[in-house]
Amino acid sequence: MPQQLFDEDFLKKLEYLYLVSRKIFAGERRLERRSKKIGSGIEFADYRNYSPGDDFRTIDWKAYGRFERLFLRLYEEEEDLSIHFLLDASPSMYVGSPPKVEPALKIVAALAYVGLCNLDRVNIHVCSSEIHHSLRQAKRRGEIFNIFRLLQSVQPGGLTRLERVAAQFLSQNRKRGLVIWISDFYDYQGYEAAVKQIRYHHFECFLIHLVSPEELEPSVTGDISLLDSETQKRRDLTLTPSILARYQKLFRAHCDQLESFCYANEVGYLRGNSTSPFEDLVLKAFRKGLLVQ
Amino acid sequence: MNFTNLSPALFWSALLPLAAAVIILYILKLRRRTYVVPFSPLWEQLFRQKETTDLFKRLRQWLSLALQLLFLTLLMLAWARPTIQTFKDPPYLILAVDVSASMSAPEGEGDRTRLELALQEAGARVEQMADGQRMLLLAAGNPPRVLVPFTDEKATLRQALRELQPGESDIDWKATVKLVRALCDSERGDQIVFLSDRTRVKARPLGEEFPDALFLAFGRPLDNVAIVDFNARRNFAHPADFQILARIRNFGREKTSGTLRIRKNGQLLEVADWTLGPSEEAPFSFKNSSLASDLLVAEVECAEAFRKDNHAFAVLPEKRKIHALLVTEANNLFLEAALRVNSHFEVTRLPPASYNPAAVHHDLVLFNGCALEPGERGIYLYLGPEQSSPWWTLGHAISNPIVSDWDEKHPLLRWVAFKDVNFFADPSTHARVRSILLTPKDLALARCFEDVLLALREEEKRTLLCASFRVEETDLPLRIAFPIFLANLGSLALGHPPGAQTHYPLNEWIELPADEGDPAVTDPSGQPVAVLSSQGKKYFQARERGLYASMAGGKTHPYAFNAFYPEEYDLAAGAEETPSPEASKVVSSPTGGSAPWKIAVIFFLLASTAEWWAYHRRITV
Repeated sequence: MPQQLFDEDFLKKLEYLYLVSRKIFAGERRLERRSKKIGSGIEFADYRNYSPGDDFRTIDWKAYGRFERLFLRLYEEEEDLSIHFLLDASPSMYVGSPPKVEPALKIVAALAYVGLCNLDRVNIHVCSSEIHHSLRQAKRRGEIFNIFRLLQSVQPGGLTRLERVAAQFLSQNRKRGLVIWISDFYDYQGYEAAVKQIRYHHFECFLIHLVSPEELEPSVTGDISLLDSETQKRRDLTLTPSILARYQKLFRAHCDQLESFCYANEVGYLRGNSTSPFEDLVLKAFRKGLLVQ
Repeated sequence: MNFTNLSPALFWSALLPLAAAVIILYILKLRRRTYVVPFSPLWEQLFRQKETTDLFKRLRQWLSLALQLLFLTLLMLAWARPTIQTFKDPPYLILAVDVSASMSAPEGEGDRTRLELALQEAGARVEQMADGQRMLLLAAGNPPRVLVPFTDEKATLRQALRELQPGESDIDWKATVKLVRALCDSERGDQIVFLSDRTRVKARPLGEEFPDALFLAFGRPLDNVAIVDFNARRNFAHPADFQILARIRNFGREKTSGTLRIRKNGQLLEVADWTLGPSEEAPFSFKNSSLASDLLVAEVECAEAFRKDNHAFAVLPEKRKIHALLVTEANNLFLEAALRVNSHFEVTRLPPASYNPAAVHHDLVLFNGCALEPGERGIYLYLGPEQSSPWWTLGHAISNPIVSDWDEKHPLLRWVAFKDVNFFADPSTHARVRSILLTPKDLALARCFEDVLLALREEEKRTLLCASFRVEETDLPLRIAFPIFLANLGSLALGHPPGAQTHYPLNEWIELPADEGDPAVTDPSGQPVAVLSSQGKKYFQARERGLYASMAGGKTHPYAFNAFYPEEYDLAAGAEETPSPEASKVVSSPTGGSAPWKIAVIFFLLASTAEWWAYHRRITV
């Protein structure tokens, strides 16, 4: 990946995105995340009846004076949010002009930066058939440069195996958090099992689906030899306008199917064009509620 | 199967590489561009939908190749002009190629001549000879020649065709018909093919004799101006001068202007401008007193393509007087005065008794009423010999003699008319007019029906003439024919021995002076010409017009040769204009822009280029 990917201009855009995110979500608490765990935080969450063995310090004596029953005050436990970026680096991400991996890297970098600014824990996993590079538990803003270095060292991997990646990810990450999966979701074995697996383990999931214009509307016609970027299989085909129309229909169906699946499984979904500016995609992601609780 | 334009080997050696090129281009065209896609299963779904049409698609691709190859084959066949050899093909073919002067006319805008087109056709016919077929190659000219007798050896025929050159003369139809008749065996089914610029109509003698012959005519109408006659002679009115005569004819269909130039020994002598309408002819006459023993060249300059007939040549005779000896009993004013009035003649009169043949050194000796022994050389004219002699035998007396016919073409009688010559009605005179009995050596120049009145005998060194009447007993001296006859006689005297004639026709054997050793003859380009010897005499023959020279004993004799064949110069009525009867065919130049095979080639190239260019850019397949 070229060194200019994260140049000064890019860094300025990151600051801009961070400021915009703060403006958009003004009033929201950005430094800490309310977890559903009830614990020792200072934010009141609920009451419950006293049971023997409970900590006396949490008994609400005022309520006892009023109702003559023992109630415990429950507080929400505050903890840092873990954000996991699953970046697809399979050969299919390198097809197109520009390759989809370029906006993917920028999006990851931008969102990671915003996450670091929010004091979240940022984890980045570069994957294809498996996770082959990871950067874990980045928390300080200054670690964004480590992230840059990791992203710049990304190389094409093997076949896309989403389910295997999900399994590997889950085995390595027990602590729940937010999973942002950036990919084209081209897997011969399907994406459904992988996403469901992550959801099953109570991870919040957000899919950023990148497509290139050439995939949406192929411009080639005539006799061609179709080469699969991942399997390297060839297939001769004569492209006609009718065939292209059928392909576009199939492709749109494929995208719609993915979106419907995400909606049905409470998974965030954002489809982005590889030629669009990455900041537009990031802003769209913010509007979809990404990184906002 | 044989081919008209190509040999079978050439046809296949051209077709196969071209077909290979088409196939290579087709394979190259089938090389598909690689299109990388990130995820092929989406496309696989399309393949499953399109699977049923693949067979047709493949078939369509092969059909495209098959059509291209078919088109290429048809194109090659159109070029090669195939002919199917059947059992009906004649086993013997007489191929007569016209080599007359008109065949050297240029054809079209290229440098090709009509003969080259004819030779191309002849070559194609040689190549398409079937096994067992024999061909005879005949050059139809003057004289006609058999180049190759019946043979099946194509190499020999090809070689003969390569060496064939156009002549400058016409076609000797009589000899050609006679030769073809002798060669053709109609019972054997011989076929005659005549390649010429003449259609059957124009080649009538051959067409009438051989109605089944195939006439292939080449050539397009061409405007032409030619010198149809040229001569130089002494001016009879002014004997010291020479008179140059020329005649130009416009054979074209449009009015044409030009210039006639006469050059003497390379120097410009006379110039005359002319303008001639279609088929018009103009005579030119120039008088000049400075001419003697000069080489004259006449040139016509005008805008035309065929210039071979624009030159004529002449060698002026030596300028000297004719020494004439008149042997007569008494004064013969009619004859002597007629001779003396011509300043060319230096006349000496002798009585017969004083005549001594050994002492004769004159150019011309006239015996009036006597038949004495001639000398060893010179011209001897016997006028009204009263009795037979060793030289002339007289027959019966002719009653009421008239001159019924005479040989107008003989140089001695050129421009001489004996019509209505009266013989005096004196019975005694009539009795003197007797028939001359000819020997095989003699030639009758004038007749009274069956009886010979004027006879000619040419011997080795002398010429004997005998008129069976005396001129003073006729009204001939009062007629214009008489001085002309005497002038012709003088010209004949000056033209004796050979070499003094102003010009000669082509293809005639010219006798060289015998007393000058071994002469060497050169043609206009300086190349030596073969000299043949026969019975102690030496001869040579000119095949092209121009100035020849014989050199012997330190002396050089120039000879001028001309070819005046108006029929050959009439190129305006080309083959295309003449309606072709059946079995005739007009063949135009293949260099013409309207040749179908050329259009087909251009179409093929354009279509292939367009198809190749559009293939990778097409929107639909």
